[in-house]
Amino acid sequence: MHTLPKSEPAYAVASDDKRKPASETIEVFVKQWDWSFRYPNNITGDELHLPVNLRTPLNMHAKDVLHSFYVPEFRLQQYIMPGPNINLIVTPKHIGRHRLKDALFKGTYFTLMGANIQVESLEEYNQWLTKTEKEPKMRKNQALAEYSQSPKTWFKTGWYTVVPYQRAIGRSALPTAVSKENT
Amino acid sequence: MDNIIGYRESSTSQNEPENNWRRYFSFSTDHKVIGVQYMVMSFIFFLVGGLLAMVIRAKLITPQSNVVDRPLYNGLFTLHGTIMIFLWIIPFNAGISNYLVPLMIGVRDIAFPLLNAISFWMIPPRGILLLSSFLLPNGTAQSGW
Repeated sequence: MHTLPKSEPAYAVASDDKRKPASETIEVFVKQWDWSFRYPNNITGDELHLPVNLRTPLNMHAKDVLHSFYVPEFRLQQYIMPGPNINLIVTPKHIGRHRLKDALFKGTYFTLMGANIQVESLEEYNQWLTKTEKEPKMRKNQALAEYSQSPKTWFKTGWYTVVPYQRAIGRSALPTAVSKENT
Repeated sequence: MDNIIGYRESSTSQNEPENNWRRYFSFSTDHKVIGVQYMVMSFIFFLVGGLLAMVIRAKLITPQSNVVDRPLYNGLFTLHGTIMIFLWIIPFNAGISNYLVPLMIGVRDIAFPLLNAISFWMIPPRGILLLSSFLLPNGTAQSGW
């Protein structure tokens, strides 16, 4: 009999173990082709920062089509339907930097979609929050940049593509059905 | 033996003359002819699909997209996959079995030879229809593979 090679353990678990301490809810917004995050006190960013060893509820909203929250190192995948709030409770186990991917192919600028995930200690997380509150830092939306000025190619088709959304976080980024529920 | 020869040369025989190359380009109901037609046609589409793969590879030489733009790349990928499955693997299998199975089980032809010929001649229009989607204003399917 052969033995299975020792595999890397998952860097996070999805659980709703009430005995573990919880962190504040983070809102996740996803649309074609962009991820954005809203932390408590209306702090927004395009990076997902998670405190290690704390249950962090993620409240996820898709604006247009079916998306998928997928972090390979976490061994976690959650489909995000447009309409209802999708809840996922994550407990990261190790400090590290990962890449959030969308596991469902959805067209032209799919490869430009993605976000960094930083798992860090609670102090660092709070430091980052206060820093971001003072000076919000946002990357340029790559899909939108490329849509407005497409790179030079030998063959240019000009075939139809879904227009990337302007980056908009907060209440305006919520799908209408959800914002009605919340207000 | 006399019986077999007599059967072949009888005036009621449905067998086609075998020394005519034009029947490979015509509507023939002979299972061997249809088998060869299947294999040759699917090989042509195999080359077309391979050409699309070469364009995909040419784009992947550099990380930048400077050969084809993103919608065309997705379209190439989708059509490459579709052609390789539905116009190469499946028709080539059909060709081999059309040619060999009647010989292996020792029958004169497949049941419903006319239907057999019709099913072959439905594939070239299908392939042309698939490839002509490159000429549509909004392009081919771009769903990936």
